[in-house]
Amino acid sequence: MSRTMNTEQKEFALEAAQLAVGYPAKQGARIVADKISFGLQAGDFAAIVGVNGIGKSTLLRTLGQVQSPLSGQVSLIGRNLDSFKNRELAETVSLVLTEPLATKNLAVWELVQLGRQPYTNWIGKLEAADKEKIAEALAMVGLQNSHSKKCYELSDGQMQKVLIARALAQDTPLMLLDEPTTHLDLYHKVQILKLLQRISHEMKKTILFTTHEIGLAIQLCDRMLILDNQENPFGAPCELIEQKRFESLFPGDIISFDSQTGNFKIVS
Amino acid sequence: MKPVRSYRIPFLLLLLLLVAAFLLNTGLGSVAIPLKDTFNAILGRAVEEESWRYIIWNYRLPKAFTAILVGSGLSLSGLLMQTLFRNPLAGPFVLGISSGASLGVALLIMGSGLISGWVGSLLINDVTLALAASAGSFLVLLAVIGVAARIKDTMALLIIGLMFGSVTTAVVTVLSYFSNAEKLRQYIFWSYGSLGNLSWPQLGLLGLILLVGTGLSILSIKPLNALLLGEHYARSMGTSLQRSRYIIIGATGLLAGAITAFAGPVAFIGLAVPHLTRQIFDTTDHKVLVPAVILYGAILLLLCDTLAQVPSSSYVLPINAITSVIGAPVVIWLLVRKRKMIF
Repeated sequence: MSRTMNTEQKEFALEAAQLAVGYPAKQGARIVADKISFGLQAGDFAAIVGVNGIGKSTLLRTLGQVQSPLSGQVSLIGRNLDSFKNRELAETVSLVLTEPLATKNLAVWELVQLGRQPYTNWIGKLEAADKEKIAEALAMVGLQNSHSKKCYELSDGQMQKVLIARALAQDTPLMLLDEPTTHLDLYHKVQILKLLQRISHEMKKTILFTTHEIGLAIQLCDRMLILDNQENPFGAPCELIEQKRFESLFPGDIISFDSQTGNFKIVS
Repeated sequence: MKPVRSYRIPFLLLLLLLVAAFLLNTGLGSVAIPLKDTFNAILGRAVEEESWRYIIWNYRLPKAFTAILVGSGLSLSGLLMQTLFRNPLAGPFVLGISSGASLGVALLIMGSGLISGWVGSLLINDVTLALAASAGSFLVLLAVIGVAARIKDTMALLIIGLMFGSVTTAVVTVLSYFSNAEKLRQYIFWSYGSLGNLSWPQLGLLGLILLVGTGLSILSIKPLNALLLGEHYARSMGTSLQRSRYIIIGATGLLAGAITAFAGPVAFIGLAVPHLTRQIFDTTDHKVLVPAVILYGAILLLLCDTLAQVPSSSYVLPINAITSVIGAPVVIWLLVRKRKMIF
């Protein structure tokens, strides 16, 4: 809440203005979500929530330039997304995606060190500074002792930490994660989200992720973007609760939002 | 923390094995030549019988070098394709290179027979066969690259390569149907693959093309490593996807295309060697895998060729039969023993 006061003066680390995302087609584009506007500052820990198919992942992929925006503006650290070269973008945004890896035969360390690719030479030789970053990243997620384990030996939670470590090794001011908590039990969901929160606050990284864990996001995030296909409200979780934004998120026939606990309840 | 393992010892062993396989290959053949004389002939010293020097210099050495070039080139292009398509079943010929070459050669052999009678058969020799094969594989590769520019999905490319293969195979079938037995036999013999037909100048040309292909592969090592995580991740780490794709396809085209032109469609090696290599080198890093498959492929084909010429007999079996008969059980055995695929 305290941060909302001087939002206007500060430069945004990630800003979207009147953004429309979706897929271009021959006859008119298929718009998945539009009228999206928000701004995140350095060190913000933020979530995108909304019902299935509303365009959370599409938005996230657009922000990470996996796909192009249909219209509107995206700027990263004050620069338009279009003006970034491949390599510059790689030094600015790191991704954690839901797509399965091509091979699970990679060792943890092998996977994490790939994050250094934007900084290494033509053949990918690691310098001392690179190795230090990799060790730091592994230590941050608490996997410094499993660096030579193979990915197929890891649990889902550990695997997610490895992917986060890879993004950390990429050493970018921005980190985008697509559903980092799927397939995890409640304990590990919270563990991963607390880890991300700590990374964003301690290392001043702007972290934006999509999630279905609205209750957890309300407790942990600095900002939330609700995709509802209409106004797409954005703000601090308590502001959004006060504005009763979560009530209309889902159809009211089965669950309803309890603003006291900040969680959803089953309608009896 | 020292997670980067050194592979110096396996590499040293492979190098020694390569030298041993090379000597074995040149030392054995239809004519028994003592090992000492083989050495002397190679080193240019006096040999007991002048004919031995002739055999070794004009027959065995070119064949051994061909085996090294073909084995390493096919294995390398197999590795490139498996990583590019993230598919353990991919090999050097998934882009339709061998089917293109087959079509070129089939058109030359069977087409010439249909049209111009004996004039046609005069046209068929090693050089025209190589030209027809190159032209065929080059055209198919060009078509695949043309399609690659229009589609975003690499997997679709894999299917398109297979479809091109089907079409050319069908055309070859039609040509065979209308050909006489002699032409058919000639074509089938070409399709068996052969390492023994190259002269030194041809060998030099093949070596030069493979050198360029290998150079392009080495330039692709970093993008190949990035591709292990998938294309989205690769891009997010600064890889230029389209350019890397062209370079990798180009390298494969040069490697597999030139080899098919000079030695015919040598099967199996390109698919199997990357898998065999991963069993020894427990890494996914292409900085290690690229040199490893090159060495491994050369050794394996040298050994297969040694068996194919059936030492001390005048038989020479088709190299394609040996690579598969020996290779397939080895791969099966390795997979069963380890109980898992390493990919």
